Amino acid sequence: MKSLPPYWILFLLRKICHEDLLEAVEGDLIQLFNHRLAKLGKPFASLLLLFDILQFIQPFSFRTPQYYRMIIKNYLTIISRNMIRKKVITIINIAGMTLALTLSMVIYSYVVHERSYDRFHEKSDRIYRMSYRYQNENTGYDIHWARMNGKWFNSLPDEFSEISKLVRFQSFRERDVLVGEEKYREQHAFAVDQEAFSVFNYTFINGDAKSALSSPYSVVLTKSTASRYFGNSNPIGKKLQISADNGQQESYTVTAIIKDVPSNTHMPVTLFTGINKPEDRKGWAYTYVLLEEQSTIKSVADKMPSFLDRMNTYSEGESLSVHFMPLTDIHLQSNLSREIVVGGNHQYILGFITVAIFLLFIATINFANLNTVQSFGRSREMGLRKVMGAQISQFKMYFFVEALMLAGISAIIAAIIFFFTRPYLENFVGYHFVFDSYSLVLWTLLIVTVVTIISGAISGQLVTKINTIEALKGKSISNNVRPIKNLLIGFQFALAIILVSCTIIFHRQFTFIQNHDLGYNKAHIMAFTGNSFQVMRSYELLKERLEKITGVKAVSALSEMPSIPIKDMGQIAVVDYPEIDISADMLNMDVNGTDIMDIKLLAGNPLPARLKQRAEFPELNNFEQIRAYVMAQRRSYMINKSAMNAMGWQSPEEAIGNQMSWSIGNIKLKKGLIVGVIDDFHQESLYAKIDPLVITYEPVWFRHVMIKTSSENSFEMHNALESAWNDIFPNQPMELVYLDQKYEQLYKLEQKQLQLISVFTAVAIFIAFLGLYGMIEFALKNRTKELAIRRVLGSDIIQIMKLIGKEYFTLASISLVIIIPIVWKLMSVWLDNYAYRININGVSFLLASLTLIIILGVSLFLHIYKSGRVNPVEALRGE
Amino acid sequence: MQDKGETNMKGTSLGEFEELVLLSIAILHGDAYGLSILNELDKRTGRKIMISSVHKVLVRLEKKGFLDSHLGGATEERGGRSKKLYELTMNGKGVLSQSKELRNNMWADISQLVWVKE
Repeated sequence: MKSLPPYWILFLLRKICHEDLLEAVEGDLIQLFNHRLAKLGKPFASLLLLFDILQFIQPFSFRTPQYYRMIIKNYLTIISRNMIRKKVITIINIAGMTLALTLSMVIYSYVVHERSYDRFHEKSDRIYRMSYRYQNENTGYDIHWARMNGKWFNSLPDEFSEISKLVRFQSFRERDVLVGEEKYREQHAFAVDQEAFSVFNYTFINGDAKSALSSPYSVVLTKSTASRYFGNSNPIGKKLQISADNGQQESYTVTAIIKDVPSNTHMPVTLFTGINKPEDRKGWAYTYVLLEEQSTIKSVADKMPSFLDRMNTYSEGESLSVHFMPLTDIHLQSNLSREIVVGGNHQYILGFITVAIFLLFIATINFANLNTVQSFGRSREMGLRKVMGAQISQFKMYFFVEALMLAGISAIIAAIIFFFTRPYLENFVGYHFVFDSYSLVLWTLLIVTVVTIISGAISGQLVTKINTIEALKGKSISNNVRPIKNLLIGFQFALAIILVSCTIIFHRQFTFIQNHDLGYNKAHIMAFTGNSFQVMRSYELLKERLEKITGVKAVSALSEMPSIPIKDMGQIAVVDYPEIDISADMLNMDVNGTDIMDIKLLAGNPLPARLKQRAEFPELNNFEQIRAYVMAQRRSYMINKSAMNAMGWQSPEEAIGNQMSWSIGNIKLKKGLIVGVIDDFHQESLYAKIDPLVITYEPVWFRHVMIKTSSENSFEMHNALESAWNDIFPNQPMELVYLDQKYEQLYKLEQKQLQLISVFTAVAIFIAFLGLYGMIEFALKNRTKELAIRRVLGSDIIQIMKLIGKEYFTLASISLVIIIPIVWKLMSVWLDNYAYRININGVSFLLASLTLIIILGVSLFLHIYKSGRVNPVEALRGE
Repeated sequence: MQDKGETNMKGTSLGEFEELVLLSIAILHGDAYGLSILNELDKRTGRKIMISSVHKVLVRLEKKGFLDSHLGGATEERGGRSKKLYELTMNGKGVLSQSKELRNNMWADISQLVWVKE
């Protein structure tokens, strides 16, 4: 069956292609279409055909009848003369469109970058990350981890024919590296299977993917890591010491250097080691699987439950499920516990795209309005053209050409501005945009085309309303088109109000979150974070040394820094209340921990100091030893208010004195008294609600040392702390952070996005202002004589402002009334995402309306003030 | 006027793509039209070529006088449209053999040592 392509496509070809070539080209394309039809199906074949046809818009084949050329030439002359003559309107027009286009380019590159994550791996379409969700119906425990725990899934490639390879990225904690005397700490160092380099694409500068990790204790560095460690000397074969999970230093040899990992990856690795022994392939690991070609992840996922049943035994109410996420989705879609780095946010991407569309809309409407009104200023010319037989289609073409010319100029300027501001922008967001300039150009062309078509169509439509006779008489003809014009301005107002009020609500919510009472005092607290087990064994020694420094008020230690989620949920059992079956996070603190952080005690006491009366803990080398040790210790507990509520106690006093115990997996802590109940504090960001929490003293699990200082954190203090550390741990790198800064980091990304959105909104308002300014200028010009007479008869500026502004103010009020409920509803839905949120009140809308009124007022005033300075006689005498 | 100058200058040297198109036309002898030339080039070079670029070169080569064309060979597959069938003119054949000769001469003058593996 031979079929023909959609008629409209051929019609387009006939409009484009020169008649000499048409027959042959059309035949070829139809034949090609039929070939593709069999292979790809109709939609794709048509799409490709369309692309082929567009390729024929070239000088050699383009259909240009003689009279068209002449007309276009005439239009170009007239348009450029007008552009020069009406400088203000031209500048307004181009400036608005340029701004909108520049910001669209910025948004485009940002969005493309955000969506490009991990696509540079050639097999990215076949790579999936495994994640692991554990639920317990009885205790309400439910955590979805970004990584996997254990070794039971190592056999997946053998079990499932669909899975070609499985790669573990483990030992993902900060790792301390010693190069000679120099100490470094790597945030993203992984121990990986050798096959990591055949699954993922890393570019090797020295060494090769096959042999790099083939022998144990090999290390692969990125280029910048290598130059940090070794400067310019050849790093291959050099030795360095890297800490293992238990803090012990092990000697490694550099076998290969890879290029720095691109910025668009969720795994910003700086150092790889091999997994040294096969039996080390266990524990927590970010786990990726490579599928065989032609296999689908669905068939793997379907078989997973039965595999899990074979591998694991769980008790009643427990369930474990494994999930697969495409590698390329991780950055924007995944927000599980313990991601390697905080990902992007899908919603923000949508938000930015919306802003870009709004901006372009506002600019396009400006465009259409200004082009139209200024052509009315040449009503005689229009009239004459009509009398001489110009057809409506030719008028329309005139506007298309004009819009195209202006939009083209704007696009060129915008591209130049974008090119020069890009470095600053990248500096601001903190990474290099990875995008293809060719597609940026294509998109810009597409936008220019759309803008031209919309604006040309609107202007063209308006011009059809011209009454030839009146036009010839030189009468004002703008009255005929007022409804459409006003509709457009109203629409612009509406978009501006949406942007302004949404931005204000974003800001209020964000400020609210930043200023929300955290339940603890983060001021004047510094911390040595991410310390190894070896370091924390000497905690008491360090504490003693640190407390001697003047300005240090107190020193404490804990298992997880505030601002970082704990996610170590274990089960609670209370002796006298057998019905209690809840789970709670465990935070281990030195006994002065709650004091140092100013956490409010609702009842009872802090952990008793006598807990500390135990011998310095012994060398504990493996999990079993740690488990046996922590299970043998005496306990006292504190709980937070959420835990208290979850357990069903009405008042803190009721909780105090009960015997409880806490257990996670096969680690069961001894029974102990609940000695105190603390008020809830925000361990995590304010996006999360506060989980039940149990606090106990277990130094084996300490990882961070907190130091409360008496004053602002000074340079001397920093140095004193650093030298104290170096005295005790000459071979251990340290990481000294300020708690308040660490806290701010939580919201850094969001803050930047918010700043960007605010800038965009400001620009949108400015563009709207430009448009309005132009429109009023025109309106006033049309009524010069009328206003002059009014002034002669004694009107003052206020009255004239009222007269001219009435129309616009009415428009603004109407759009406010329509828009406010919509925005109100939408933003309430958005705010529901937050555990702690503001309520929308009228303020944001009031401010938005105020902004609008100010814009209107200022543009009116500027004009009227200007025209007010001209002697009315001049205006009346003109003609 | 300008056209003429260009023709003369280009007339002596063929672009690579132009040469490939001329050769394809010679190979396809009698059945050389836009799409068949495209397919031939695709088959031989493996390059992804736009149909528009083929037509563009054909128009140019015909203007230069290397090609002659006539319409014919409409089929159902083409929706009843005729093909524009191209054949080489004397000039076209001349320029092709000229280019071949040039290459042959140059090849003959390459020392065998160049090909010795290092």
